[in-house]
Amino acid sequence: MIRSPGAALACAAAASLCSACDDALDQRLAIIDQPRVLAVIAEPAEARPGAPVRYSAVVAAPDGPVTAPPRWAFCVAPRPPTEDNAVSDACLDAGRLVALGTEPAVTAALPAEGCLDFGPETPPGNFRPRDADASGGYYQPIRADVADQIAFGLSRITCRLATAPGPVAHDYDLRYAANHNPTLDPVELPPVPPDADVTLTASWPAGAAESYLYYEPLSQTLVTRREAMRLSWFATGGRLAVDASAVGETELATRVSTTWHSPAAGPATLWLVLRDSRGGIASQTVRVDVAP
Amino acid sequence: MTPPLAQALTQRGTGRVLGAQLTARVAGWRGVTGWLAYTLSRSTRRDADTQAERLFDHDQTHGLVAVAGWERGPWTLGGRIRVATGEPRTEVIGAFFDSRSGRYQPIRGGHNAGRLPAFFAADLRAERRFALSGEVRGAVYVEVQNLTGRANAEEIIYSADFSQRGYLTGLPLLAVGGLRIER
Repeated sequence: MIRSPGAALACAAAASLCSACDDALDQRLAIIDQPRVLAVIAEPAEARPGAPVRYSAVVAAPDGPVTAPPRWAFCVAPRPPTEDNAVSDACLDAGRLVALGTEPAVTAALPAEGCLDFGPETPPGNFRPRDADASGGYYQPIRADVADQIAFGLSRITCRLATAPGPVAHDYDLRYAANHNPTLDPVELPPVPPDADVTLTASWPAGAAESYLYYEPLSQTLVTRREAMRLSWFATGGRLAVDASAVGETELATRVSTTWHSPAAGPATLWLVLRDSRGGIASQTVRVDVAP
Repeated sequence: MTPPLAQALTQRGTGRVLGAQLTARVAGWRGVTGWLAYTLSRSTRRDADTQAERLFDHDQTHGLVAVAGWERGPWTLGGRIRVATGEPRTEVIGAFFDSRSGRYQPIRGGHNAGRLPAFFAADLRAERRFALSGEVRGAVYVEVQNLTGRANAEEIIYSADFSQRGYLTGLPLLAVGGLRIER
């Protein structure tokens, strides 16, 4: 028996593909069309439980930076293994928050139980230690409520290696260097014409991407890795070619570029947010005159 | 909150399925054959003793399928209608910004507390057979799927900050013609 339904199958496949594209929603966040938190920054980027850390937020709006102070709180609810968000759902309830005040920036001591609640330490008994992130880190959630937005920063906490062999854990304690926030080189833009393509370049010092000690669980050894960097671009108007540019941990580049298609004449604001792979953040706000 | 070692994944869930189906058939009445089936069902799961019962991901309360065919001489005509309750989904009721990743994360409502819109599709098929030579026969056919062009929702999709939602939809009206030759 001979059948010839090939054309029919091709039509069906094409129709199926087109159908799947129809309902795509906006997946980009680079153009600031409503007040939005861009970053919650901890200084220092990593500290031991009990150490003081200063927290600040970068908040953007269509008419420029937002100066309203956030309401700050530590979340003390660990994330159960059955949840897949960055923080526990319980961090949305006031009952699991420790209020820190309403200030532009707040300084607070990291909770003393951080390595127990969010790190690898376990209570007495045969309990499973929490998993580290891809860089071997553990994080204390800090909540910032501002401009009708809920944002969580994750403040990296230095904990001992709980699952490593004794000599390896001891070596790690001696040699591990806590993360520092990266820095961005200053960006200055001359007035730009409206409706024009402008090349934006962000750069950072060579030392901003730090090397760090990482415990490799499979080989149970310490290896030295280098931080990957990711720069997010934001603008109050126009169009950005990409939302973010990344430099992998094996790459040595210290600058990234993108193209900004400028909006109509008037003042505009750009934000650059640089993240390293251990949770460090730097940001820069650039005011631009768009003028013919 | 930290599970004991080797007990992060356990099989303590239970499930329950209840249902009934009513079927009517027509065979050979003036060249018409067909059947009609209605299914009423409820499928639930309880993931752990301490958790509430929830709907199963593919629970469908109502399902109706009607299929009919008419054959006369070299012609065959057929049609199918399907109606079903939309599958349960866990809806996103808000979002928060995760500064570590720079992305928004969803705040979810009750587990499978919402549903996709109901599914409806009507399909038609017509075929004309003919003899070619000797033992070789042929047939031309036309099939029209989703005759009404209804945009049946297959999944809920969201914008990057979860402020907008829409549906990923299935096939639009799809007409397919073909030629079949057989020996």
